[in-house]
Amino acid sequence: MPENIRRTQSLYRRTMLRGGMAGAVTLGLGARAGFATDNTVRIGFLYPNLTTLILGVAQQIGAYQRQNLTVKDERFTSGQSVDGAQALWTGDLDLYFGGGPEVATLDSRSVDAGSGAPVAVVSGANAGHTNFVLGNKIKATSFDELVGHNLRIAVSSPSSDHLALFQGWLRVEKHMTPDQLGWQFLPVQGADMPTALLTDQIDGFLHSEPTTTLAIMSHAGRLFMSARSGDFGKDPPPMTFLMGNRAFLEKKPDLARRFMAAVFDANAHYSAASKEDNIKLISSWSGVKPEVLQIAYPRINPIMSMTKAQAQKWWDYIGVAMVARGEVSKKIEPFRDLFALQFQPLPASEI
Amino acid sequence: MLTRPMHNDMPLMGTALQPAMLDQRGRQRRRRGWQRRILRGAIGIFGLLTLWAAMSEYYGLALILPPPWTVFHDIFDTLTLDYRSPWMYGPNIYQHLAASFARAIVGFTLAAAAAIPCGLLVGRSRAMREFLEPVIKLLYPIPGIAWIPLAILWFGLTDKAVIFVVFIAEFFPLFFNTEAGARAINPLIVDAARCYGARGFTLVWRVILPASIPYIITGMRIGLGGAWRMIVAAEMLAAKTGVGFLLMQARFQFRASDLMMAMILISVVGYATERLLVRTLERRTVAKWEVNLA
Amino acid sequence: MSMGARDVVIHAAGLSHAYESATGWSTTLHGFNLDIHKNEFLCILGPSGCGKSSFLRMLAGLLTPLDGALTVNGRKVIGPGLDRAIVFQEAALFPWLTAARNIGFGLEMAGWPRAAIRARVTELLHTVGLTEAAHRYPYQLSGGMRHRVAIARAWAMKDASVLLMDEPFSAVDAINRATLQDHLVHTWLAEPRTIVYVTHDIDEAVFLADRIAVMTPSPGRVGIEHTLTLPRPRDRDSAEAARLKAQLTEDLRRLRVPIEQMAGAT
Repeated sequence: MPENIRRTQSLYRRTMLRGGMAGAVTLGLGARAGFATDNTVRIGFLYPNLTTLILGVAQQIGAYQRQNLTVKDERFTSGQSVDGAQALWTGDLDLYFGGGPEVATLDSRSVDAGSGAPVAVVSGANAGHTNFVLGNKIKATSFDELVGHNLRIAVSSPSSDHLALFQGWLRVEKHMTPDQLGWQFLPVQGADMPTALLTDQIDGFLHSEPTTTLAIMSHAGRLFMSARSGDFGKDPPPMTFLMGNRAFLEKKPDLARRFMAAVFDANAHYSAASKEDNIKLISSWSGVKPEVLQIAYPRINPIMSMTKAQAQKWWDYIGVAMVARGEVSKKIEPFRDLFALQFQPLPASEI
Repeated sequence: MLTRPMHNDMPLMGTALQPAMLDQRGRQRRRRGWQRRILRGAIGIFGLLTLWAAMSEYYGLALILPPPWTVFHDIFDTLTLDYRSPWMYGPNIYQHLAASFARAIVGFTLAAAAAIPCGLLVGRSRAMREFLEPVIKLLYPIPGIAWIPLAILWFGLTDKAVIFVVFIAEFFPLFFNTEAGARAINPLIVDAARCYGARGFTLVWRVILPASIPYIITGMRIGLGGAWRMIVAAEMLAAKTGVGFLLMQARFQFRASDLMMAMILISVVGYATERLLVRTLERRTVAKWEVNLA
Repeated sequence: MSMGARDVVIHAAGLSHAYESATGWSTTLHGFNLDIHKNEFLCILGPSGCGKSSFLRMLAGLLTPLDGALTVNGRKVIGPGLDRAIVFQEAALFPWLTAARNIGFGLEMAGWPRAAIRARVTELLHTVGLTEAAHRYPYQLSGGMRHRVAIARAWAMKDASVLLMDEPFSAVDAINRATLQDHLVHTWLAEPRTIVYVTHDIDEAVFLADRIAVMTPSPGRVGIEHTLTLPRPRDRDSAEAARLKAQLTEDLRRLRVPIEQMAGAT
């Protein structure tokens, strides 16, 4: 082959190679930086977990496709909401569903340090899903009998939303601090709680489903108090939050709105579907056995929707208690810093 | 060959060898010695702080790497028990430190009570060695962290679990070092002891034990570092007081500065423990007898 | 003086011992016989490796012979005991005890009352000239001082009628050695006891002993015995001493030859 043609060919090959590499690097960097098309949302959530059920419904019924959204998800295990919140704050995620108190503490640290609040609550779900399960070995019929005893109560993490609700209720209704209770709150993963109760390593736990039903079915404990029944205050607010990175919300409000529209689609579907259909769906999303879900069904509330009034309720009950305990900064103004509910397809007066 | 007279009878008066002059030299040298040590140590630490401050400025994320002055300010506030303490759920910093320290001491004492006699026994008795050594060598490679779930299973989420973990972390280094010490005793010393009437328990208590002390002290020192680390790991899971608990609380509330404060306090208390327990023992034994490990 | 009562306090008959090493069995003693009399200063002289230390360890009860009989004061030797005090080649002091506590160690083990121990220790410190070093630890003492403490420790055992010494001064420099030897004889003359002194140094044996048992290396046993009649305190440089040293040198040379080849010698 003549020399000049060979040289041209190899030059051509080299250019293609370099161009290809550059393109790959750009795409890679772009993907890493979230420099994706305007239809991609990166969301993290707890899984397998009944609290994040509504996302499973949305996926199942194709709600994302209807909004022309591509959803990339990252999954977290129980008790890891602190990591999720952190990923949200550093921009590795756009949205995170799970946890509750983490928003308030994270924003507090940032506000205290002089920068604004980097993370906001877009919506909330699982109102009233907190249950207090007490071990069968403890003979007591009312809460007051338990005060002052050294009980070991398990929670999924120190920032557990169940613990936050409990402490808020303690303050508002009982006018007590956790210290005065004399209880010990120990971190145990949700899945391990029924076993720990059965083997007498804990005396009770604060968690939702299916942990509660599993504990009852194995005769380890009984349902002592539940938020749904109003034992922790009337009309309990949504407890687990869909949080958003504020930069994302400011730059791409349309994406946020479309995502919430998809979620509200899922809300409607779940509310309208039959118990059997829902149980099938729940089982495939969470891996919990249908027999357990049959019993737990009434205590499961995956609907995601949060009004300003509900947000205020959350703040009055839980936020204020966190400020009193020193976990949340006094400088925090809930509606300036914590809540950005306007992306939900709800009437403007409510958000 | 010309022989020069040796002036061996020169008086000491007016020379540098006068006793008073020698004393003064000694004092000066010692004072310069620790002045130099402090200066060099301070320069080293200052270098670390500078690096820290620089990185903090560069990254600019106060929530991830707060600057040194923020952290020291927090330490000062916490140690002087100002309003910031509410986030620690009741006890103040001194109570948390005391809780961890108490667990460390108890675990350490139990480990010494078990490891030293075992080590001496295994070191001196072939029968005991053949019985016990395989068992101990089987358990030794298990890292301390792996014992934590077992501890929680056996003792529940209580103080006892933490103490158990400390015990395990301290036991093995102390045991192996004691055994080495017992084996390394000059056999002539043991012969002498026997010939002068020491037998059985008296032999072990009055001769083998003192002779093994240098190794025992080394074992204590090594084990103490590991044990202190284990306390923190165990407390994160199984306690409601203590520095490990504080670390976990700080993490779940995104308190980076308090996190670093807890780490610094852990280091300081660990160092203080070593000085208190091991250095004291050392001063009253090895330093007095000036025994060096061969 | 050296001719004390003639009763035998140590009787060794047919002692034999061997040990296994990487290269096979080595015999240390074979048919070892020796009688030692009360308050006698007996030196066992022999080259290195002839088994003299083994015999001493048997006397101390630290080694059990494979064959033969060994009695001290009529009783069979079965283990270490407070009737025999030993001084080793190294001082073997307990580093965690002061000189005074080292000296008193055997007496503590024997159950003496504290006051009595203190008195005896003070006496001995004076005897060996270490009174001002009583509260020093071994590391603060020079080599010679440590050996003196070791001797004092042995000598403290008032009820020990037998003193065993295994080349105690071989690690000491020549100047100190002479001093220590003088000291030993001086103390022995004041407080007589039976001394079994092992050495490879001819000069030392001649200076110290009432009787010298010269050992052969293989088989390990006593080849020749000399009884010394030189008056004490001995003059190291006398003609008689020189003649004796020459004789012993010759003995040692001869005895190096295995016994089978010594058919004609006496």
